[in-house]
Amino acid sequence: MPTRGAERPTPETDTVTLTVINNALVNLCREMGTAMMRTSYSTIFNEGLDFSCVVFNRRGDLIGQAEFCPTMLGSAQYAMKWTIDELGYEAFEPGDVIVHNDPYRGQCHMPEHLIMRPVFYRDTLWGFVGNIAHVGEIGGMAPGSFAADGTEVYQEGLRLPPVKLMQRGEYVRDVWKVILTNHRTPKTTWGDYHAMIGSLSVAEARLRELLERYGPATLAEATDQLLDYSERFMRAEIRAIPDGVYEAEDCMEDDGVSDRPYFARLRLTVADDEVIGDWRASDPQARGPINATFVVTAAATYSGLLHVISNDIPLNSGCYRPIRLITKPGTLTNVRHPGPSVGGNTETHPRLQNIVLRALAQAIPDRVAAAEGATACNFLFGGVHPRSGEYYTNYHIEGSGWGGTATHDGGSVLCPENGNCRNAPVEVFESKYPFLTRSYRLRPDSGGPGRFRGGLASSRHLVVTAPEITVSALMDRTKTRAWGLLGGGEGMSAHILVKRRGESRFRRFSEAFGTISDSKFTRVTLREGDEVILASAGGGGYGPPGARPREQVLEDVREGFVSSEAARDAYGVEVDG
Amino acid sequence: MTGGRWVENDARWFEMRMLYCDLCGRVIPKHLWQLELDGVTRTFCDPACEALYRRYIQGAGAPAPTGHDRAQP
Repeated sequence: MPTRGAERPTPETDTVTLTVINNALVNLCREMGTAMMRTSYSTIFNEGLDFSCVVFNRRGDLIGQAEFCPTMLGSAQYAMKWTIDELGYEAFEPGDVIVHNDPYRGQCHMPEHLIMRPVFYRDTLWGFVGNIAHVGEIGGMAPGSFAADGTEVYQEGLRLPPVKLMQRGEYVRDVWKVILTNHRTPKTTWGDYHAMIGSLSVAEARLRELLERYGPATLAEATDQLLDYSERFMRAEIRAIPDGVYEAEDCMEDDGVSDRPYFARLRLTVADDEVIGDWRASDPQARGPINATFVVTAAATYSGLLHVISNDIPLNSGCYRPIRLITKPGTLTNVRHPGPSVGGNTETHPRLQNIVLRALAQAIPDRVAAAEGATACNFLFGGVHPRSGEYYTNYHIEGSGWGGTATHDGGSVLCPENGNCRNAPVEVFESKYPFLTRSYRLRPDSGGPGRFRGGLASSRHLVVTAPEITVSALMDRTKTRAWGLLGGGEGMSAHILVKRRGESRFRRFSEAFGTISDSKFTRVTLREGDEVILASAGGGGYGPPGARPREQVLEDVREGFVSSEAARDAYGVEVDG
Repeated sequence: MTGGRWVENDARWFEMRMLYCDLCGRVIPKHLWQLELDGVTRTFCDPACEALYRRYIQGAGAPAPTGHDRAQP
């Protein structure tokens, strides 16, 4: 055991100590997450857990993270280093807190805010702790800040380059005033920002304890060794994938501005211990907000690879060294300024990750799942709350079905794999927002048939209970379906429908309100008694449905997951009675 | 030896000048790796991007695809 504050100038830290340090860094991040969950104001933070807690070394390398949002991997990898490069080390002082959400400075999309604090040990900068979180309302053209038919980044909310929120422990009031003036729900921003800052205080205290225990040089050396270990680990895993060039593509059904699909195309080269993800053949960037920033494409590529390797790898920047990215600015997979990108992180991101898996399925089909529903079904709304008289907004997401795998059915009603968030319980939803939830259920037959069935989608039926609510949606897979693998069938499409008070049937929003897209629209006004059905997409099936054991099909019918008709037509299983 | 050199994006603090890496396409924060290649000034994130550019873009290129899986829109 090292003595308190000891320096151990040995060239190699023993593996036990490395394991202890790695676990301490992961636990530090988990503890940040608990602080966030318990102290934040917004539903998307305290119920959705739409955030990631991370720790960096002095160079800005990610040296620890916990099990939060894979979608923020790219942000963690690039936004911290951008901040160091733009501000310079001399800018950081003890007690500082910096915020940064600019997608053209290494962030994934505008709502994702990286809030970070430099950590000093005896007046010397050792590293940084950070929290990347989806702030639910940041201004812009739509309540909830998802400008689903926006055409430039300036419509998506308040864009913040790296600026200080706190300097030497004191509020930088001018910056706070600008931010709180531009967000529709400043009280929530105030609470959520402080939850993030509080989590940084927790992390700073824990990191200082580690620095006291091991000393700054030993801890730096050990974390460098962990980075190298993860790189070696990833290279060994890549080496086990057959060398080759694997191409795959998929599309976004529309961009909210025009009614046409946009394709992302990948050429994935696996050569010895390195992977090159070449996305240059993707379509030119869309006018609407489905474009991915570079860091989104990077994160999707990283997390695609992480899906097919051992989960014993310490998650840090070392994992990503063997994965190289090639993109072309001005395309769907690397938006050029001032293109919009808010949906690129929630909708295009899972599609890109699925494309990585689709390419890898040609090499290692037994380690790849069929496609997931892959839409977060972003549903945004806001207005004046009839009970409080105050303005409110909410960013709501739905779970979709995941794809079947070589050994299991796909999970049902889960946030897209890139998000790993939770959906809000009905009780919480109803207590905070003026909607009545008439039903919330699984969608029978929504999982693609297969030896291993795709996961089921959900359907939520809402009734407006306020005089007026402004709603927006940004979702996908309403015209396309999640693909199956090795003979598995496709999952069911998603939809969002509306029934105005007094009408007899549900209609698409394009029919009821003249929106260009059925799945992407903003600022539609609903009134008391209007009803909405929000249904997510099912996952693709894996393997031929005929290979699914009859008992499992019958069990699916008994559970209500599969109808008798689908059991007969898709699986060839007749159900008596 | 690459002949490259580090160059600072000299945009003033109130200007926004976005410069993209000629390999990975990332916007480069402040410090650019630049060199002349085939008579053209090329900008990269760092020497590693330059090396992959030479190997993957300028070199023989990637081999023919082993497989291709197309989407049905």
